[in-house]
Amino acid sequence: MAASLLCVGISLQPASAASSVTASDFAKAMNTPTTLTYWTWVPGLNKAIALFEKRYPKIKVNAINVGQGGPHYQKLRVGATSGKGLPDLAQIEFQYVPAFTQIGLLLDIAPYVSKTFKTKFEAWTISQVSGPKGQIYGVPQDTGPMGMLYRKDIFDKYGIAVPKTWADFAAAAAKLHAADPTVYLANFGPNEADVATSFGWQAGARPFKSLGNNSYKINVDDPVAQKIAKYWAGLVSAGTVSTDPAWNNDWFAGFDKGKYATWLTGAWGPLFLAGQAKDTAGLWRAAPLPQWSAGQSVSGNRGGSSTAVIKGTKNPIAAATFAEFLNSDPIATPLLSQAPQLLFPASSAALHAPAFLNAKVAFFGGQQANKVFVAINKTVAKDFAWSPFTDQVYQEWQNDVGVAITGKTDVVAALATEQGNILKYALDQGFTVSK
Amino acid sequence: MERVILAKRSRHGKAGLLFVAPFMVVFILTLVVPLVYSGYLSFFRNRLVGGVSFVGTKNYIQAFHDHAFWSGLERVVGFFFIQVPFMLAAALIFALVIDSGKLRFPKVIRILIFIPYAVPAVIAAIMWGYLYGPNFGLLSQISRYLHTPSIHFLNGWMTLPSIANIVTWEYVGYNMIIMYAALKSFSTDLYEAASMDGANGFQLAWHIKIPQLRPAIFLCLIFSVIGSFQLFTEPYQMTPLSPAALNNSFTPNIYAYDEAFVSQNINYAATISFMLGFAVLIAASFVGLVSRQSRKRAINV
Amino acid sequence: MLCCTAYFLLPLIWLFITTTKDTTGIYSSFGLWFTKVNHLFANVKEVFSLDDGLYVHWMVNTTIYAVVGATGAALIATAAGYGFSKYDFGLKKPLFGVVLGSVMIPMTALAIPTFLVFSKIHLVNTRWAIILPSLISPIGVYLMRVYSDTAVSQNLLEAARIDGLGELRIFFSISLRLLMPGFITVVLLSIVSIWNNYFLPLIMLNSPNLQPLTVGLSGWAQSSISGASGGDSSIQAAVITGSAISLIPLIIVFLILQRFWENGLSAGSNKE
Repeated sequence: MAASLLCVGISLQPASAASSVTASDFAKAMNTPTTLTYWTWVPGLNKAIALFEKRYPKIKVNAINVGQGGPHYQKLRVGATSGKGLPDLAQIEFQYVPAFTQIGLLLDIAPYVSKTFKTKFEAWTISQVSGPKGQIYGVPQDTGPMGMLYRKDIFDKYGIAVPKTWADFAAAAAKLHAADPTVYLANFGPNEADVATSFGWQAGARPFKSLGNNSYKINVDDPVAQKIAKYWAGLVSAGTVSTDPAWNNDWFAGFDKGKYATWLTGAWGPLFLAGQAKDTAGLWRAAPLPQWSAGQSVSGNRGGSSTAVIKGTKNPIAAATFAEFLNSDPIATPLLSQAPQLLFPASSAALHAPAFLNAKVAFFGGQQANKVFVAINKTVAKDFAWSPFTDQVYQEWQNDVGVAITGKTDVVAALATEQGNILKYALDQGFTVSK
Repeated sequence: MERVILAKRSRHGKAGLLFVAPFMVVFILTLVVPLVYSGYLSFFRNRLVGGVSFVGTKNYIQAFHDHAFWSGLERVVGFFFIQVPFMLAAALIFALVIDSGKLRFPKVIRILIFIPYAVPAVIAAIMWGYLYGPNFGLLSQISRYLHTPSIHFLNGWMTLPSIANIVTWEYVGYNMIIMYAALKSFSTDLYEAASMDGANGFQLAWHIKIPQLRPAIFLCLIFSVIGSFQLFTEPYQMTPLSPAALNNSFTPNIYAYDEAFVSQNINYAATISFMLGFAVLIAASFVGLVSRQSRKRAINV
Repeated sequence: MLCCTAYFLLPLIWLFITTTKDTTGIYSSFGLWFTKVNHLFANVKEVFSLDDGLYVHWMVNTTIYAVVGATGAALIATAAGYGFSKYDFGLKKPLFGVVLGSVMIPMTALAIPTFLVFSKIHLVNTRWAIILPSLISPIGVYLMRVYSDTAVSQNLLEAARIDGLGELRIFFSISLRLLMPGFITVVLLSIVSIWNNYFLPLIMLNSPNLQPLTVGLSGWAQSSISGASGGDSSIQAAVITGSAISLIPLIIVFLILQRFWENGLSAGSNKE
């Protein structure tokens, strides 16, 4: 009892002195009864939130799921347009941070976070949430280093070796499908713009580069992009990968029934499979992505989010403190790496904690999968940047390239169309563009 | 006497305005103002860089050349032509069959056909989405059992008919009831005379009932025109099942929504909404014209 | 004929059977038959507990929007139809023409502009944002005008006026009673259009607490395929069971009132 009273006393000071918030400001903010609304699609945050609310009893946090991805961002935009119905905090994936800073929706929390903030997270995640003048637009939460999740039982049954190069992968795809026409090595959906982008990240593509002052270099159809598009178009033409649209019930049923033997995705993959393909838990293993050259070790990132504070929140200090707490507290943050979230943390401490590194993950049949992904994480190139209109880019990719790859039409022409349309959109919106 | 009554009506005329006022006030707020505001917005542009600026008719010119808009408009027109005749014919046949008295349990059947109208479009789309699923949907389960090739409902040319199927399922009952109500109000004298002359049920329907149903059919037609052009909910709800086929400009409404909330071009979205409104006005007026012509012809016969 | 009826019932039968299955069962079992274990109770519990009982909010919202909206719409449509029918005033012809013409305006084409107007007057994300637009039923005005022509005779009005009753008094105590069947038809028409409403609430309402069932269930359906359900909660089953539960009151209300429907419609469709 005495200990908790002591805790209450201590908690009226910021956990570590914030950049420009005085102790009295902080105490005042954390003692003003506030309910923070947090839009996030990460489930089961109640334990972590309870820890925060215990430390700061006057602050309540309401985590609400308003949809994942598209619908979530649309709601934010609707709120931005009308000025009403906005939350205090929102989950923003890294690829959308520029889009939302462009419309001025994210609060710069640099003044409110602790002085040691930048040391708490993996360096490349900090660059994903930073602005050109040192602003911080979000607290990195999780990352998605790309790996290959594969069904060990299917590989064993048909004698497939774990492919190390993309050439191996293509050969394995042919072998597997010939052995069992109802199974495919992988699926490539016409709406998987983000997967294609991550493949590009791995292979060295850099489609967008900000030159400051709303000026961008745009290059979505460079030789790397063409190489990747042609590769997958080849597999589709050969009939060795399926082309089911991803992210719907039917696609999850595919995993559940063993139609797809691998999933090339970020470290957060198990989060989704655990709910939708329960029957296959324990049968999956983790491995690095196939490489373009033998012996190479490079990967890309897919997804990963930050917790951002929305401008207009009534208690920015409390909101920023919660965001930092959720993603870097020594007790709360590791909770997010367990079931049901299985998030791959951006917090360096959580990433390198022995409990995390050495965990035998049940979903992977007891494999120390985290070690595999931490190693992959180190090979993710740090200089990949996004456009401030990712929605539009993805939609353009889907309309042009996704359709071409799965529809077996000319992918190089499709890429050129995509480039042309994106340039036009950027110019229409007032940006300065160059190649 | 007539003149006295008319005079008395206008004496209290002002009271009429009082009764009409509440409707007109809400009408202006929720219909006229948005319409005018939408028109106003369509002459401006709001860019990510640079903010709002006046652009005159640029948005309309862009819309005229916008392949996405026209393909969406073409699609809803096509949708109208494949869905509406089929649905109205089915509604007509059901109404006639039920009215013929030759059916057992007509009331039950009438209600069962009408029930889908009580199902909101969103839920109808969710249900049919599950039925259509290529991997595990009910219809493909059945086709696998029967060893027939499974149909990919939301792919290629099947997409529009599959959506049309859902809309038909929802609204056949509604149209049937409109026609059935009309049928019920006709006098049966003509029928008796005709059957005494030896006409069978089919001839009765074709020569007597259907011509009298003309007003009801045209009413249904007008509602259908307005509805078809506005197609949004069913394809939007099912987009995840087939994002390539059900793309962001599948119908003009979906395109307007996409322009507003994904591409962030609110002004262009207003322009598209306006153009859609004009298209509906033209189409509905055309149907109204045809209806009046056919009535004149029927009277002149 | 029987085949046709089966077609109309097929999705509904599938729906109600599937309320007894859990997510794995949905994928693996035959759609029109049951699985070994009956999950109905668990599913219903899931529907009402998911997201802290959000489903109940949706039910309450849908009821409020439907009842308030439909009653309001029928009231002002009846008043307007009555006004057009029984009185002569200067603007009568043009106003009625405008009302009739507005039937042609696609409501969904107005949704985005209405959203923008309401944003400016800070009505977005409130209940009024949904109720106000649903109060206008131009078809209702037309139907009620036609109905007033026959149901309320001019002589009756004259007699009441001679007795010293004011116009409003006449309307509420005499005419409205005569107009009741038509009134109910407009209520029904409005209820269906309101509970079917999707596009407008989708844009207007950001807070899940204010959403009606259509938008809420659609949101859950989207979450279910995004996989955000994680390990334990089986949102798919909740979507299906939630949809089924929402249909029950709708179908019941429907069946009870559909007789009024036919009577009201026969008045309208013959006056072309």
